[in-house]
Amino acid sequence: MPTLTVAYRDLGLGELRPFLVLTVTGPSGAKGSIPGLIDSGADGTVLPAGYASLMGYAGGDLVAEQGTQVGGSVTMWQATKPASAVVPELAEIVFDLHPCFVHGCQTALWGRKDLMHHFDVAIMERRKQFSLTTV
Amino acid sequence: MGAVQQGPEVLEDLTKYAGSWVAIRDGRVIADALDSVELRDNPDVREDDFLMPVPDAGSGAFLL
Repeated sequence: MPTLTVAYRDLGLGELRPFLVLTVTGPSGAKGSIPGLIDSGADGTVLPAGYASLMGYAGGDLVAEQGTQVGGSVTMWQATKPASAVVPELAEIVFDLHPCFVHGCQTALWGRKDLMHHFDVAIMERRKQFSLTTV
Repeated sequence: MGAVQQGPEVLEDLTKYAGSWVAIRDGRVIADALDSVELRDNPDVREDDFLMPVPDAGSGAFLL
């Protein structure tokens, strides 16, 4: 099974973190690269609200839901249409994303329901790496 | 062991852009704006640039 090893990276903020860059295609066909943190604590994909417009989501494509974060409850805008995503180095696997958009969220989170449904993820904190293995 | 993910890299300190969105090309900030749509619509920004928000407290610990 193909495995991708990813070194933690510093995205200009002075700290190495487990960022994975996905190529994401929204429901309108808009396409771009999004860096997000591998986050086993997130139930699904959480994106800063500003990505909704970039991906082509309109207000009618989003439903308000209440979620819980470490600081308390938060209103999330759940997409009713999936986007698609691919890890560029493992391009044979294209998978759906069901993002929640959150105002005030400033870092994309790749949670369990989307990314981790298609890849086994291993964190190697001491080596500042993580790996994705296709399942 | 298989492939190793490369770039995109960010080669400059983004802390001065905290709270804004930035467009990155070849590791450098090409443009910045207060919101994503304003940034996307900037004529200097290309479709293949890498757009991302810069956290307010990037140098601090993340508690997500």
